Amino acid sequence: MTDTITRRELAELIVCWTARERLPLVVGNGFLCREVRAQGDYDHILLLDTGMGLAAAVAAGVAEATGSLAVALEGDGNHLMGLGSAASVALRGSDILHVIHWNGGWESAGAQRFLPDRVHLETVASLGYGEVRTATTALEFQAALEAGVRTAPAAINVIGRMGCRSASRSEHTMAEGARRFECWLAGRGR
Amino acid sequence: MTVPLSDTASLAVGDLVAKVLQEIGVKEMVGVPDSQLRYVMAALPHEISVTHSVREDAAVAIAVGARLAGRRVGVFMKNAGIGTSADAIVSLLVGFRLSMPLVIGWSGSGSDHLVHHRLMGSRTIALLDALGIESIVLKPGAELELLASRVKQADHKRRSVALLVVPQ
Repeated sequence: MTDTITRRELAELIVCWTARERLPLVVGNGFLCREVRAQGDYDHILLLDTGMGLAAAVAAGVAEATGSLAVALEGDGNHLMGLGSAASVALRGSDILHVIHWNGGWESAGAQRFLPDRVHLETVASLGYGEVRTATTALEFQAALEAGVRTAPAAINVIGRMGCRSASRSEHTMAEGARRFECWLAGRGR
Repeated sequence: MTVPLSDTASLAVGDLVAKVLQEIGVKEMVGVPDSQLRYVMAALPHEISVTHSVREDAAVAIAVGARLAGRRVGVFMKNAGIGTSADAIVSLLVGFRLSMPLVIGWSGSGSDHLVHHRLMGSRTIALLDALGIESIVLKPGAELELLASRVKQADHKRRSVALLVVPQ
């Protein structure tokens, strides 16, 4: 249990990997959003402080417009609320890597838990994603990222846990974040 | 059962929508199919591709992602989808200060008297208004230049516009 990946480790790894690979990263709201923001100020990241369940669909739009891979990161609460996003991604065959952090509940909303054994990890696979990997430790997650995407859309189910310390909230302007992300995409020479 | 647009009226409105979308550089329309809009979408030129999502909020999100990446994408839906996409419209479109054309089949208006359509039809304009979306009602024979000018003005102000297609 002690080597189960923490939210902070997940955020560090995905921010570093997308920065190194020059890949756009769209992050769903909740604790993951705060944790990614706490990693620093990065223009290749679009943080959705609102718009629950829409990160994968936004990433799909970015991927389709640029013709290259985009990455989405969201928690299980966002993912289950936004299954229409995942279903649309599968329907369109969008070139995205969809990372889902499963901690078993709605932690940023007060740590309410899903009923044990009532939620399964097969959602994206059953919707028609090309490949789905699972990671429980930081090492496994890093390896899953480095393996890249062979058949898009692809997903990584990251099995985490509740109770990890969370980064604090911070004030920022959504529109400003969107402009910076837009400029970064334009500068990357899509 | 829905009330289809008559061929003549729908072609006129379809041409109108196509020209307005071309005027503002739309390359793709993404949305959930609607029987009221099928002739309108069919009237779009090949330069504007039509693609689908399974829910209207996902369509808005896909279009927002594309817009941030420099591709102009609009959204189409039946008016019932306004409720489904309310959070996406406010959180992404309004939150990011992006403008986007929304082509909406206005069920429960015009010749469509179905009771279950009227429920949403009578609330459509008020809902859009509450979401900060300007409504433009499309009618056959509407003046294209005036219409295009209103859409461009909203675009310039980074505000989204709903083009409402009324069943004839």
